[in-house]
Amino acid sequence: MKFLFVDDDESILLFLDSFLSAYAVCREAQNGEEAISAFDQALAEGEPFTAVFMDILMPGMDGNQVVRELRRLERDKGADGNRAFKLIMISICTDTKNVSDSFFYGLADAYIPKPLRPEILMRELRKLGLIPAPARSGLGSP
Amino acid sequence: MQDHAPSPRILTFASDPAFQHRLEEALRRLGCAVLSAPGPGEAPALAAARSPDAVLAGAAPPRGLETLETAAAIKRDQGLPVIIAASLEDDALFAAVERLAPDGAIPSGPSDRRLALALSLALNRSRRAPPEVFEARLEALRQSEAKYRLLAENAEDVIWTLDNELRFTYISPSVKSLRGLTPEEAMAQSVEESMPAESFAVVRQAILTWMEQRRLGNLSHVARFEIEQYRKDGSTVWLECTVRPAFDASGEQAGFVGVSRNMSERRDAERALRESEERFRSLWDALPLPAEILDATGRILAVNRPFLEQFGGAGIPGKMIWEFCIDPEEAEMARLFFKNAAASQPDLTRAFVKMRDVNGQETAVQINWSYRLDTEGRLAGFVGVRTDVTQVLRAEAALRESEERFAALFKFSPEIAALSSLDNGVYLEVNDAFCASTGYSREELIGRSSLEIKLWADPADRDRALAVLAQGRPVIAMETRIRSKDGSVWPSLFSAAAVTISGERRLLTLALDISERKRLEEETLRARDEAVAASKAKTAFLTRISHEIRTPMNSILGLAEMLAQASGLTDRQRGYAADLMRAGEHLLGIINNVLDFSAIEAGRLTLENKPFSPATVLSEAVSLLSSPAREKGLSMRQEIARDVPELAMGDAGRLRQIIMNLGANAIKYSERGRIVLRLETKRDANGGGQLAFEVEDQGIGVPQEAFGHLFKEFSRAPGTSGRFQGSGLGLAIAKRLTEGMGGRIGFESVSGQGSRFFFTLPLTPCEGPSPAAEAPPGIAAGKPLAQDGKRFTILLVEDNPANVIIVTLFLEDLPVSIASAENGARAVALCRDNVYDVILMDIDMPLMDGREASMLIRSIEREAERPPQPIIALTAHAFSEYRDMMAKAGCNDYLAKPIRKKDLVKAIERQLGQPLEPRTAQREGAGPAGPDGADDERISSSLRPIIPAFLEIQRKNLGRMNQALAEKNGRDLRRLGHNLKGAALTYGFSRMADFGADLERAALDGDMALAANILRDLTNHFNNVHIVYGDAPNAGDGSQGSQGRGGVE
Repeated sequence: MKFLFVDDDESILLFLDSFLSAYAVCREAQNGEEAISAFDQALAEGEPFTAVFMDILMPGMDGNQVVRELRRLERDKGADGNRAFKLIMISICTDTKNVSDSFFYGLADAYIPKPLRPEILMRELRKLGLIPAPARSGLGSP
Repeated sequence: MQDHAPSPRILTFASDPAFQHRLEEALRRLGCAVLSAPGPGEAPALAAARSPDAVLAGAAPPRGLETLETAAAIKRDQGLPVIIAASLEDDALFAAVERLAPDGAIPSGPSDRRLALALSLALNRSRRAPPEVFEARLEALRQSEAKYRLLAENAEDVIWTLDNELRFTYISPSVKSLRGLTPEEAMAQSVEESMPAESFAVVRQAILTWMEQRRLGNLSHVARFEIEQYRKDGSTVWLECTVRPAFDASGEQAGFVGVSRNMSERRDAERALRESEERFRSLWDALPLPAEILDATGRILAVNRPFLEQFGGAGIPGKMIWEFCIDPEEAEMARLFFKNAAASQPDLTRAFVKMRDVNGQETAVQINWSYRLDTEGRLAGFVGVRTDVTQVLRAEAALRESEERFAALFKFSPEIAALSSLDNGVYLEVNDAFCASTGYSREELIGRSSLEIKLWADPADRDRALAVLAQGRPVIAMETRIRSKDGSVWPSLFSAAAVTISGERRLLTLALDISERKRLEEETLRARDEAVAASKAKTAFLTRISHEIRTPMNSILGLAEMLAQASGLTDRQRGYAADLMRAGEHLLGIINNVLDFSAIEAGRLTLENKPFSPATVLSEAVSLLSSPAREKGLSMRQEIARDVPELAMGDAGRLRQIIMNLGANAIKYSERGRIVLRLETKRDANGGGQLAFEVEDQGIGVPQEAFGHLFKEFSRAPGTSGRFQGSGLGLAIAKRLTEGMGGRIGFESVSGQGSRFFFTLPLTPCEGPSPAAEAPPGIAAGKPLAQDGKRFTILLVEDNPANVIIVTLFLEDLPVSIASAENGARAVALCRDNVYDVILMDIDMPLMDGREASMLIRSIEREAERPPQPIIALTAHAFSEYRDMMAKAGCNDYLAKPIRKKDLVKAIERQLGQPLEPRTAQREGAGPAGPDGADDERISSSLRPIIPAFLEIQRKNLGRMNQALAEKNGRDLRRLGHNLKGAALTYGFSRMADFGADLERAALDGDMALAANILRDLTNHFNNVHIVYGDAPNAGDGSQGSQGRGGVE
């Protein structure tokens, strides 16, 4: 399991890291260039990212542009298809255009709106099978 | 004698057959035996063979010379006398005739006299025949002329002759009757002066034509023309003239002979006919109805213009009339009719047929025919006029239907109906219902009047009805009593009107038996009274039961709140406690609504009329609602117009309740978007001021089918019962409260797009003292008796042990010591010997209630000349009347159960006039109420460990924002604001997120001054938050971290 977090806001990176570092090796990128470079390097090392968490609004390349580039890299290396990374878009933008762009062009698997909620984050990742389902302990026991 | 004379035998031939024929004819008239040569070529042989007495040769161009040569040869070879008839205008012929030196030469069109003379001379010279022969002929001719003259003299027609100079040489006496002139007078006139110029032009043309004909060899051309000639009196007469050239005995042209016939009469007749035809045609076309002329077989000879206009059909003449029928049967009937018409005298004068008009529309037509007979009295044909009777037939049908309907209605109506004479009121017709209801048979009724059968139980009603009818008005639904045959009397609704039925004026009366209706009305009234009583009982029950529920709810909620804040709980346990509180609060909300509604229903709604600040009430509501709104991801905004007055009179609590109700609904029924609460002032229809409130959302809206009953109690948006909780009382209460305050409430909504609820209240300007001055004296004046650092003493008067525990727990952390009394009497006893900083007083207690206890405590204080101790009333009664009652009893403040810790502490602090510092600033599990404390509970425990790091990141970002501001880099500023909005909310710092959003907007608008202000406020806020949540060692600035709460300001 290897996650790449892309957001220009450190506090979001912090949030993701603190909740998800237990489940995966986490890398962070604060802009599109860093993200592409990290992604490319991981591909070259033969340990590509399982999932990429992508902010949409960023200075420089926006999230959708970065994703297109990542998908291209992946295709070039023959890492698409079943091995393609899961894409989780993260943004305060709830407008349908950005969301549909994400899904159509970036093959996004999930969309998580800001403000982030730990429970929503976890729920979505569980749906994607990126983190295990919770143990049903406690409930019903005295 | 002449008869015995031998006929001279004359051989004749001519250059053309026509000429020859003329010559032969003339010879026969003169009694000659004619030897006819087929042509000049055969003539010499014939002359030799038959040896005639003389030869007559006709020579005319173009073959005239040839004929002359033949004639010359016969004269030379056989010595026969030769007479030449030739057209002497031709010079070549003339010369040839001279050379021939014939025995006679005559013009080509000689008169008989001239021919006879020429023959006579020639025969005489040749001695071949005695000239007497011709003398006898000439004498016969002379006698014939005399006969002609006699004829001319006696004819009505005028016979005249002209000489070659166009002078009259003879005019018959009939000219006298024709022109009023004697023949002598007429002959004295020239042709030209005898007629108008136009007529003379006609004559001249005739002469020219004649000359042309003569040039062509046609000497006997007859001209016919019509001219006008003057009568003696100057008037004119139209004449038809026939003129031919005349020849004298020598065969020379001797002018003309003509006959004039009066044609004025014919002209007049023609004109009359023409005019008559003209008149007929214009009348024909001017007929407003389509008309046709048919022959006896039904063939159309002519149709007029309206026919064409209405039924079209270019080229209609020639068609058979039945071709226009739509109905084949009608067509066949028409065909048969015309087939037999010629044989029998037609008796049909009218027919109805259906035809299509020019637009293809089916039209019913009535045809009226008259037949024409010819001069012999035989059928010549028909003239038909058509009338479009479609409308008439339709109207007739409608009238018939209407009358049938009326008849059916009349007969079968369950209402009593009667037709009576307008003159004497006797019944002409009654229906079955009449007989059934009154018990009379039809026979008993017809011919009698209502008066005779004493139908009216109240005769005065009849007089009233007659008076109305006399004014020409109908009587409608007059309630009166009717008496049946058996004497029973029953109530009815009576109506009457004068109507026209089949052309007759009648009085139509209707009556409806309303005994049953009356009975139902009474039952309904009784049922309503019962229902009202039941409703009252229900309301009373609700009030009582609600109150009973509130008291234990107080315990549940209080204990749950304490539990939630207790130490040593796991997160899950804390969650259960929070769920317990939420559920309890929801239940309490419902109970409050039910109570409110019951109170309103029971007419126990009492409204305060005190000064309050409308803007403050709205702001308070917004601040209360913004937290739940934010939880659903909704934004909330308030818009207060500038002209809203600072203070107004009214019931602030009830107003808040309405706003909260509408606001809570907006949140409940919205999944996204923003909610705006507005306040402005308006003018009502009478010019009075109004406060206008609005709550607008972008939620699911109100479905159309719910519009009608939205404000009804227990009704909620249809289809939402599963999705949304609620008692369905909120809007009903809002409506009743609004109306109770003299306002109006309404809404508009588009399903799926949002709703706008609005209400207005009459604005009563505040003239009294401000709310602060109006507040109970104790609140402002209360002074703590306890010294600083000392514990405050509180007396809790409460009979319910659970409530005692709750209040004790609430105040556990505060520097207070609590004494308690289980009833009013005990409290009064304690107050005799002790002075408390604050007394908390329950109202409903055994032995002595709170009201009495309060009054007694006040009297003790007065007796002991002690200052009044602040008393805070605690009660499960939510009604303001309790509040008033307790205020009158001397209480300083009032708290409604279930009591919330926050409210209790605030109330105590108000009475003490100073804050109650918690003894310990930190509590495990929950942070202190910091600057962002409103959503303190939002910060989940899992995030707590990273909050210091978050704050460090934001401190860095604050530096970036300041830098961006200094560089006026709006783009970075906007992005940083945007990021802060998302990040701060993620970490549960909603106030900080608001700053982020404000900053983003200011940067987007390019308003750097505003951005600077926001950044300054954000920095202050951040510092406060950092003090509370920041990790001191990581804060980087040790001095701030250690300052504690004092550093907030």
